[in-house]
Amino acid sequence: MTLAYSHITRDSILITTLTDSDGILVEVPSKLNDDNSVNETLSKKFAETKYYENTTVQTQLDRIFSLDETQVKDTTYLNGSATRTDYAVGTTQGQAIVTKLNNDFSGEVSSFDNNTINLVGEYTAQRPPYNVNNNISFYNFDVPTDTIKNSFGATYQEYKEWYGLKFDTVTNDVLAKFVIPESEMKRVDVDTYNEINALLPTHSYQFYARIHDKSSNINENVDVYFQADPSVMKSWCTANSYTFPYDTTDDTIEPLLFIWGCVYNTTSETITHVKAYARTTV
Amino acid sequence: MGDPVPESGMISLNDFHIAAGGTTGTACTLNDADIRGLISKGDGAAMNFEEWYGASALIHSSTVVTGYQASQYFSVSGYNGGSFGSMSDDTISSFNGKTDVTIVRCVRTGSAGSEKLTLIVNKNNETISNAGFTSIKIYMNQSSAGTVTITRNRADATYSFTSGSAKWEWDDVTLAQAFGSTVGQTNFMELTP
Repeated sequence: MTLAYSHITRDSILITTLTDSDGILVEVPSKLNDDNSVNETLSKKFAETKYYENTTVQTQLDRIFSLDETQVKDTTYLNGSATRTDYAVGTTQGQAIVTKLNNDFSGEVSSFDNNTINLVGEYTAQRPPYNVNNNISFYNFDVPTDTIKNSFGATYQEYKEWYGLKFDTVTNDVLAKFVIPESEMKRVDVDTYNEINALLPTHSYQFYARIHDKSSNINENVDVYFQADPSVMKSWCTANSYTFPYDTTDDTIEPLLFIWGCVYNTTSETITHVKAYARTTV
Repeated sequence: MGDPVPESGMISLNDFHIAAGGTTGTACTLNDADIRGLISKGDGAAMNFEEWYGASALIHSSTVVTGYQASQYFSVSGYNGGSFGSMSDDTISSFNGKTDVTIVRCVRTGSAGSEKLTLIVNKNNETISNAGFTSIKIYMNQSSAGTVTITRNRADATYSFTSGSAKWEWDDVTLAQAFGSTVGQTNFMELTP
């Protein structure tokens, strides 16, 4: 798809326009430099963001809304292949994992499956900070309780309505993944927020996750999640030599994508991993 | 704001005053800013009585009964034509040079920290340009224009025209500011000229 840009002035307002070969038109208020001239890069990126929110990103969101969340099967892709599958807790596969959690980690939360859209998955970790052991992931789609926050030293002002626990089945260590909105990430670590956003491609609806251990340590790896167009992600990964998360010759994956993630290492100040998430039902 | 000026027949300065939100029978002039503003006239500008037919302080107003749809990562609330929510009047009688333009969607979408207000209109897939109103006002949990919750200007919106529909979006509009998550809650919206 070829995108064409122009900058116009209407009613004394600077506007950046984007058109594609299918006739889709997007107009956004231009992003300006300090001298009030149009910032070409930021204006184009803003227009592209809105363009994809009207096309592929909207398609992804519309499809997700059509799925029965109590029957969800999510596949995580990393380093070119599927690395983990999460299941809604009420599914047969989910219930089998919930049984293991109840047997080995029953004290961590009052219930693993009281919310029918909670997700669980078994996997062998492939990236820090998780040990290369068999792990169980648990995503609770409720705001974290004070007990959970206190256990892992989380003192954020804003939380999204879900969080994760990662259970190492060998060491029995537990890590918590606190999910926070963009505004909270900006508040708690504006430098990291700015560094990440300087690196990311055109995207929409970002949020973050920070990993805490039971000693209240916050891991140096930060996750950022967002919606984005697959072709944009491919170009961006190629340009930056990032390993694309899935096999692009498998044309069954892309129609199921619903969100992307990146791991940003705050020490090296680099993106170390790109993840893609596909959703369907069992 | 008061009733629009009649579309035809005898009209009076008092009709204009009422349309501008004034009290019937009270003093006013054609050159009062709020009255001449109904037909976008400047101070002292010439005007014709023909221009006043149908003049209104609003482009459109309607209740918006909240519909709500949420996934684990994202939610939508408000009116999504044919899908959820409802409006008492989803047809704009005169908009951007066209008659009977349909409001397809008036929703807040996103998740905490990344939310936006979206207005989509359609007129038989005809092209609708980035014009037609100055601002949108939302009155949360009110069935008429009372205390405005948010006002967003069209000039600050992103506009797109795709698949026959014109869309305006405003970033940084929260669930509390636009339609909430209580299904069936009655809210009010206005488009101003």
